Amino acid sequence: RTRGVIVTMSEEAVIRKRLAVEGDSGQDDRRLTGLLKTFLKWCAAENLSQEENEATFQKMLFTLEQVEFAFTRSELVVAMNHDEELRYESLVTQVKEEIEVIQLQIKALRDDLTNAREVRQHRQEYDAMATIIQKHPARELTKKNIESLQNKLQDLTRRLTELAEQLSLRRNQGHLLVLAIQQLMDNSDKQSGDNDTSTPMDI
Amino acid sequence: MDSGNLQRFYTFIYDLQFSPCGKYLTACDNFGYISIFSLSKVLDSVSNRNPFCKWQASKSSLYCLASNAKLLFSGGNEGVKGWKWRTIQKETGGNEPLFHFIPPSNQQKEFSDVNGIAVSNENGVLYIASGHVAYSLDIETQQIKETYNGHSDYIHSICTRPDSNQFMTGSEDGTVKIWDSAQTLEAVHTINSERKKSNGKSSQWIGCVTVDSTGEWMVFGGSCSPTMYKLGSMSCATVFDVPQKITTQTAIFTSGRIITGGSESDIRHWGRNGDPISRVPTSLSHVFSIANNSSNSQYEVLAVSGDSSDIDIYTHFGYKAFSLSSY
Repeated sequence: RTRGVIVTMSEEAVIRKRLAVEGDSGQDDRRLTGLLKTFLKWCAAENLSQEENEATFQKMLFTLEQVEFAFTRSELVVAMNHDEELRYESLVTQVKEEIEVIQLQIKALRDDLTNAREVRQHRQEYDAMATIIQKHPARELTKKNIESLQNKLQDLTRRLTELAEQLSLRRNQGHLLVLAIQQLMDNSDKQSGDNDTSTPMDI
Repeated sequence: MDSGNLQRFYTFIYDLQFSPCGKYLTACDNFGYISIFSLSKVLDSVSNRNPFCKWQASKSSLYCLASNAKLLFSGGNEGVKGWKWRTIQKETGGNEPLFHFIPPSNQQKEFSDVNGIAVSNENGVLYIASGHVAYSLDIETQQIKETYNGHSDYIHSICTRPDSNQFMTGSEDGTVKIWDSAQTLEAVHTINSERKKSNGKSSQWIGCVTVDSTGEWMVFGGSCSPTMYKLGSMSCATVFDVPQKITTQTAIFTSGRIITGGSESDIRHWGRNGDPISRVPTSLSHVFSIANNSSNSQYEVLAVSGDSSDIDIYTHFGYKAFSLSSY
């Protein structure tokens, strides 16, 4: 930043300079060219009163101050932009990290969801099987039934053997009886055969 | 109305199938066309609602689709044709099928159309439902391995039980039969659907049979309400509460719920215990097929098709996201 004295500056140089900085926001450019013009006028002017001198001098200083102010402001703006950029970068990295963390959480929750679905499916299958099972009588009851039936079966088989024994016993007794009667009859026939000639009875 | 529009008006899309990689959706219709949609293109932009590839696979209707890792199978009035996924992906379409299998005509000398096909990855076998009879076809040699007789009327739907050599068929005669691939004489188990009406003739028919991924639960439906069975104990778990007039044409297990569709415009979502979750409207008046793209999590959508040339796509179970048009 210099307050360098411009010794010889032609009009063309001014126009060239103006064209070079064209595209800039017009104000600064205008101020600078205005300052340059005023300075040149002031240098070239003769017979200026003290007040006029002072006034023009003050004006030029003022314009210079304005330009310097604009310069500082734009410097600050650049610094601010830079800081913002840094801050946004850090924000970006922070958000990216958070996204990754949350994606991991989402994945974990998804796995939980599939597990929960499986659990629910198993519960429902269990329900369905339970309805089937309900239709059959309880195991205890059937066991008892089976036991009682087996006992009955045992009793009855026992009774069967007993009766069979009795039957064979009676059969033998009956056989003996018949045998005895037959012998008796034979004996009586013999006796009556000796005594008289009566017709033998048929048994 | 010119013939193109007329054909479009009368198009029914009978079956949907997602590719094994999950990037493509296949649809077959009653004019014999197979349309392939690329899911990445469809989900990207609004203007891509048409198939990226479509060809006439058969001169008459195609009723069912199935796929394994390498091949896409289509079944219809002309038997079963197999198409390579590789050639389909190259957008040249399957103009030449890899193989063409015609089921043998039965004793009545009628040619029966193939109503259902199901792939069994354990055996490398394709189960074909043709008329009253089911066949198992070896995919490599294209020879019939076994024939399964037992149904007294034609079979509507067939599906394989995962992790086992069993498959199920649902038929017009109102029974669901569970077969073991080795036993051809008779089904391992037969389930009769409950009578709805108590008149003399049983007018029951089974429209769809499906099994969940564990192979333990089965849902079948048709003129009877959708019924859920537990296969381990062969017992009926629950019957879904659907109005009597509504028939069920399709059902799938997906994401912890069961979705059924049939002769109404809504598809119904049910929990695995039979409780209704919701009824979601579609743009169709009769639903023939529902498919969920569970093999690819990036393009996980639900597709519904029926008596229209449009396919409804659901990215969320509660509402229709958009419709694809196969014309």
